Amino acid sequence: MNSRAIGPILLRLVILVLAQGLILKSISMDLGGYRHFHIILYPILIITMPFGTSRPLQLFLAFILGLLVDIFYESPGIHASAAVFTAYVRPLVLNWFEPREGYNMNHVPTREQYGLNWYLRYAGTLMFLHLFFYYSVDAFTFYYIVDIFLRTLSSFVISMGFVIMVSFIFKTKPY
Amino acid sequence: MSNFLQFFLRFGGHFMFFLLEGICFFIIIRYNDYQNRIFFSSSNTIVGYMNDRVEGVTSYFTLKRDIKALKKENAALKSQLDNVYYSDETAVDTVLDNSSQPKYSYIPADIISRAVLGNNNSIVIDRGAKHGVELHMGVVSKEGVVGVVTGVSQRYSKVMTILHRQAAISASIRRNGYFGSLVWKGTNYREMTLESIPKHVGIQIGDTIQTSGYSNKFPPDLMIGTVKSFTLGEGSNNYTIKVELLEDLLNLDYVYVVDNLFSEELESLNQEGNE
Repeated sequence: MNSRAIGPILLRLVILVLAQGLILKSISMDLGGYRHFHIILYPILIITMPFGTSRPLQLFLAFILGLLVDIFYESPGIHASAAVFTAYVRPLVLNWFEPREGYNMNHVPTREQYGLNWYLRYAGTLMFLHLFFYYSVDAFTFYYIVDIFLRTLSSFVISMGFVIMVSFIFKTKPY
Repeated sequence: MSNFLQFFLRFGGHFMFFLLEGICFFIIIRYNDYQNRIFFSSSNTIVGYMNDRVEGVTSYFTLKRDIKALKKENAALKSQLDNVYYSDETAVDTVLDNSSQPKYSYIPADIISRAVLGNNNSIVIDRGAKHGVELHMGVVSKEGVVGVVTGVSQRYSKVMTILHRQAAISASIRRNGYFGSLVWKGTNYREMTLESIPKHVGIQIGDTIQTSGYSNKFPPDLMIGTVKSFTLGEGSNNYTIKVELLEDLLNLDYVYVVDNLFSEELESLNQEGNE
């Protein structure tokens, strides 16, 4: 990864934060309050980070992303911790779903690159982990584990719809 | 330096992850009321539990000291029970002399032990130096003379009764004022012998024997007993008068210690005369 690539990532970061904080938040509110489900789209930045991005940088970007989202949700640190966690487990998930021919370090893990089937499994796993982590930190105790699971599932279903939608609408070019 | 860089490149991801999550959780706990409450109530529970366990172990180390302290406390409580009390009350009263100057003062006392079965009978009373009892003070009962203080401690005094081989008190016959020495011969607890009454003195059975007042231990005119019988020994100039005591010294419960307020003055005068 070279320094040219950081620009588009930062741009996407800003757009995603604004989309999440201004649009998706109000949609979630209108649909019945984000205690029960969330439309969460911002992890897509972590999901579609280029393979070549160094791990500390990925984590740091995820941290900034989460903090900015937290500002809109008035929940300091909660989205940030989930985002950092997602960025941390991303290499593991990538290993898990590694195709037979391996990854090209110059590529970006997207639908166009590896197909819808792969993308669903890869993005779905990360989204699920992200939401589960988020709701766990939100409850801050596993006493409400059933609640945590139910909210994770409902949010997962509706958020995945948006993730897939975005993957069809916006094209990410390989670097 | 290059080692450090290599280390960071290899483990930087993990390091960064823990660092950032640490910051996140710090922010979460610091700025979110709900998570803050849960965090501190849980940590208090855990820390409290751990403290309990540690306390359970360390309390054994102080067990010895605790038992000692408890014993001390127990002793302090026991010493507050009624039966250990020593009544410190003294109602001191004084008789007036002719010139309206108090000469004798009485210290009431209870008899707490008596040994009146031998030849040298003594009793112990529960008043001592603390209450003004001094050596050689006289002890009287409500009707008669009891003895002389021969030992004084802080709270107790030993009294040599007149029923003692070495005791001799100055006694007089009330009717005519002749006086002699009253001694105990060691046979009858109710009977004493008055000696040194010259044979020209008229004596009748039933005469009252009282303290003479020549001794500075007892106030004068205190009843002791009555004349039971008298004999004049062969070739003797003095009567031997048997005196029946008014008081049964075996059955006394309380006595009075006589404090002669002028005794010091009298003693210093006597010493002056001796020199």
